[in-house]
Amino acid sequence: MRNRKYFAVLLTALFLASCSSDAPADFSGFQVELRVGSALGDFCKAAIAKFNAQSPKLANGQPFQATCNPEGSGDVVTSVTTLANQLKSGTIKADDPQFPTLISVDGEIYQSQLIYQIDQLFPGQNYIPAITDAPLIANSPMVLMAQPDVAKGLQKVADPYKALVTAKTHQDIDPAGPALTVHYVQTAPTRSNSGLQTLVAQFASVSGKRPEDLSVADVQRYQADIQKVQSKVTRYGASTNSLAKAMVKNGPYWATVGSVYESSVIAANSTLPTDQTRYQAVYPKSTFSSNMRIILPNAPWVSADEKAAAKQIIDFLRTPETQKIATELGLRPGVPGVPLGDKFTAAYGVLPEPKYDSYRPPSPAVVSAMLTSWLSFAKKSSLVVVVVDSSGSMEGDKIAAVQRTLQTYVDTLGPKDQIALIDFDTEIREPVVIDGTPQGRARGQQFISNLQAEGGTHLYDAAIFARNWLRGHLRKEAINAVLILTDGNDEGSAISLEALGEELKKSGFSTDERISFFTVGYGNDGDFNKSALTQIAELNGGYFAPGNPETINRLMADLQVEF
Amino acid sequence: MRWVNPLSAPLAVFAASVLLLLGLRFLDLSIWIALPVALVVAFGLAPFFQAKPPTANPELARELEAAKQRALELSTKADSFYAEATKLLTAPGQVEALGIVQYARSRVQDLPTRVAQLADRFEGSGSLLALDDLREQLQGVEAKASKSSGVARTQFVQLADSLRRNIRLAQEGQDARVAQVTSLNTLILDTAGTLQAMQNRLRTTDLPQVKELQSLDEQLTAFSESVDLLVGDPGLAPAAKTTQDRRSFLTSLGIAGAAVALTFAPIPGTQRTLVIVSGTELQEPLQALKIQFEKIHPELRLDLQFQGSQDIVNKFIDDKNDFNPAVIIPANGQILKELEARWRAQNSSDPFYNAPKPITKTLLVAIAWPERGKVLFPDGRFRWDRLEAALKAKNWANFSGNASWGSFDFVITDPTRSNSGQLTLGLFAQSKSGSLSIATLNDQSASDLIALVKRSVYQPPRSTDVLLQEFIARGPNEADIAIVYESIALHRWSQSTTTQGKPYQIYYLDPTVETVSTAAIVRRSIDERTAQSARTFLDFLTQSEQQATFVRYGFRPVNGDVPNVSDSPWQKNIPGAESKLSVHTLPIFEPEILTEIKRLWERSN
Repeated sequence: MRNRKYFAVLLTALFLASCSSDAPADFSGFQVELRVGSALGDFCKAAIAKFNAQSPKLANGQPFQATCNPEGSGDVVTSVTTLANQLKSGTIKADDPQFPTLISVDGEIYQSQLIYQIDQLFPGQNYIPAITDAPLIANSPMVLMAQPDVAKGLQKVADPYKALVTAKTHQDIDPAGPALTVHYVQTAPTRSNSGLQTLVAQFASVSGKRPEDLSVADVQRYQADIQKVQSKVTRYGASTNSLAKAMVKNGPYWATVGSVYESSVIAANSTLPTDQTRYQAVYPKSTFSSNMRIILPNAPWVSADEKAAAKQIIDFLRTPETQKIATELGLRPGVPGVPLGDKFTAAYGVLPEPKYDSYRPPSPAVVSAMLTSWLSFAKKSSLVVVVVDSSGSMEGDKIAAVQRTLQTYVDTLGPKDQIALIDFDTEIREPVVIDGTPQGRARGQQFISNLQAEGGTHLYDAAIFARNWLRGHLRKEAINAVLILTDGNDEGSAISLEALGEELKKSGFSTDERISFFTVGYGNDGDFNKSALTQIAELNGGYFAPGNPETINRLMADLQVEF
Repeated sequence: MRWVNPLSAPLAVFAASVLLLLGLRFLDLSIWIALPVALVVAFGLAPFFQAKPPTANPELARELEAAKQRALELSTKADSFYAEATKLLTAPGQVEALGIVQYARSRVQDLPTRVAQLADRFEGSGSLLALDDLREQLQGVEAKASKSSGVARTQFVQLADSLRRNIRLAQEGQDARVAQVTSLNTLILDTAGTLQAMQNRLRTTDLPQVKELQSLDEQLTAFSESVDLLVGDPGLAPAAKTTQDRRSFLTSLGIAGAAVALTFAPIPGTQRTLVIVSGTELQEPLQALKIQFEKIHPELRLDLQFQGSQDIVNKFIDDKNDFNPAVIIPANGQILKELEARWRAQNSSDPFYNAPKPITKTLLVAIAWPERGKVLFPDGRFRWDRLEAALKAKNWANFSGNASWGSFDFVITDPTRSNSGQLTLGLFAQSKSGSLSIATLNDQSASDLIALVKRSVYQPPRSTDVLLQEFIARGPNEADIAIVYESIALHRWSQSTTTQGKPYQIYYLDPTVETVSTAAIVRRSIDERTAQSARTFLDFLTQSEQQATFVRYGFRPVNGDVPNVSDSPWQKNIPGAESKLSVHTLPIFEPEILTEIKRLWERSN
């Protein structure tokens, strides 16, 4: 039994060593995984690098290293719950290396969800400790991020979310404000803590009730108002910090207001040149503090050695020196006696001592109802043209991985989502429109199975074709976007890159069409023209991301959250 | 079986020592088991392992016995000869002759002792005489011979020949002791012959010539000296045996000493770990004192664990800890009484080694952010009725406060897990009726009050220090007023300025309740040796130097007022802090009151 345990530990170490670069290849100890919410990601990585540099050991002399895996808080809860479910059904064992030892989510709503869902699986076992039993690591209040002129108006109103229900321009909120159309960004509540806190805060605002007083019936009652706020969303996303940085990069035509962490404002302003206008944090009168705690499950999947290692890690994360890393990243410290540092000033758009009324989470059942309502009703609809390169170079593993990824994409389409799949090589085929209905999925299945790798890469022609098709089929009150997936350079397109760029501007964010572009370079660096793909995306409110057969599934799942 | 001192049997001591070492160091047996077993083994094995006499030589025994008998007979004969002489030599000119006989008698009377000495010496030596001893004897005899003349010289020359033969025998590996005894027998016989000659001379001559007697006496003197040379130094024979005994004794002592050292002294890399579970309120002073203690006692390592005081009891009783605590230090002694009662109900045994020992004490205070404290307690004194009114108002806007402060947030620890939460509810309830009993707790007003508090507090933490840390770290947006211990409120006060840019105000509850952190050494899974180490630790904590450390962390000493300790928080002008209390202090509530408070809390919606 003991041998089996150590064998499992060894396997865990091998597994983690194979998928993480945090530990040296010849490391002989065991690995401890921290699966944390994305808001704590940068802090976790920096702190754990320092921790590992100390060559930590258990009291029994066994060495270990820690690894940090940031995910959206919703993903953290989903992945742990899925593993716990598999443990319960006997599909996996408690020593399965996929189980993280330490868990953190970016706020107490998702923490409550984790406790609730694990307790549903293992009633009375208290595998996930009570909220305040998990030591506080950092916190960062939810704020609205905006340029000063917009922020000024938002600060004047009693409740900004309530104002967003009806306002079309910022002058509707503040007559002295700019005549900008209200374009709003937040992360997806199904996967991100900030998105979920935002959704709950919106319900609290429109209902006039505190979150803990909201009922399932209230969710039904007020979801129409939530939909009105959501209709102003430019795009969603999984990472709050990325959204804040995108606001800075894309400017006020892309989004005028973002619902983000206070730390995201500091991070975004930290990247700006000194002469550029700073973004400001608007503190709502009531908001969530986003308490980020470190959870050590008292569960069979955490061994005694892992527990001992985890305690060392927790103590390290809470030392004043480590907490200083958090304050430098714009996170408020989780332990007393740590100075805030120079980032918590007006120069970074925030107040050192903001005043707000701190929200408490609603009940888990109400949270579930809100998420269901968002997915099926309140969320802004989307139409995304997915342009798939099926040229000859995609032959083999590449096309197979893309087919699997597209299948997952189609299977997880929500009721508000539509996609149009375009297969191109030398030839550009007609789009196949797919939605989340059984019929739509069947069409998607047929499209995917018909993909064949052959021919050349008429990339730019395919891009303009997709844009033109979308212009002709623009979905109203929806996010309209093009997503291009290619593994090669353009060969033989009729349109040049420059002409494509000029053409796409005509449907970009300075226009009413607001069509964004996202590009995925698939394969090895050099196979595709990274510079061209980046240019196409960034000029049109999107971004470029590299992928390969191993990462494409995760990458596309993240991209799907944008819409 | 004969009784043998184990110290004369080094092997027995060694076996017992190994057993003691294994039992205590590796098998973790109680010293009350390992020590008696080791003693039984030592005494049991001693007769078998005692330093044994040299291999028995029957011929030697016979020769020694014969010599002994002859010496005794000769001694008796010398006595009768002297008695006869005293009757015969009565004339005044015969006094010198009588003196010679008396002298001869004394020499002969010494022979049995000398034989016994030789026997003892042989018993203490190996089966073969040491060549060095024989050579030393020979040198002595040759020296005597060279300085002697006449009969004496002849006697010494003969003895020298005899010794040379014995040396040869010893060199050939034979037992020279028999030859030595034979030589002694010869000397005794020669002495007997000379004595007989002296007696004959006395009987046959009416007036014996003094000169003749003197000549015979010279022979006797030569025999006597030869005997001395043969037997050796009169002190040598018994000393040889004592030396061996002493060697055995010292060897045994050495083995026993080494065993004790190996058992109890720290071996590098084999420190003994003492797990201490304390309420979180003692976390910082104990962590500081741990460093000092481990410096003084390098053989001990302290593993400090911190839990809410009620959790200490629950986790111990339910055996839910993933460590074995040796010492538990909840925030008050009543909690230990509860633990004892629950333990006895399940196990019918004593849970602790000793009576619980008070370590340090503190009392309950309120802390509030200053601008909010001023609205809540306008006269600067804590009032339960104002707190109740604020809880009912829910929001500061409904309580003459700043609307931007939002909801009124009162924080206490979870009364089902922590001491301070229980005491808070007890004092709050007492404020309604003026007294505290199970009956008053069950008054509608008290029940309503507890329900009101439960509805108001959000996620009460498991322990007071966790509560205070979060109160400071999260600031006024999360909590307005908290009930905590004076000790940590004083100690962490400066942190509130660092983190929130402003310090909190301390308010003394009147009456307040004193809570004495009390330590107990538990019996479950803890052997006597660990318990002894735990006693050492608790003695260390209660010494005045360590009590001063507690004072520096805001605690009050177990006996007496706050002493004048440098750097104590009472010297830092903390707003509201009082070194000499102006409020009435109650002793800790009885366990049944605390149990009822927990029950009411759990029942409240």
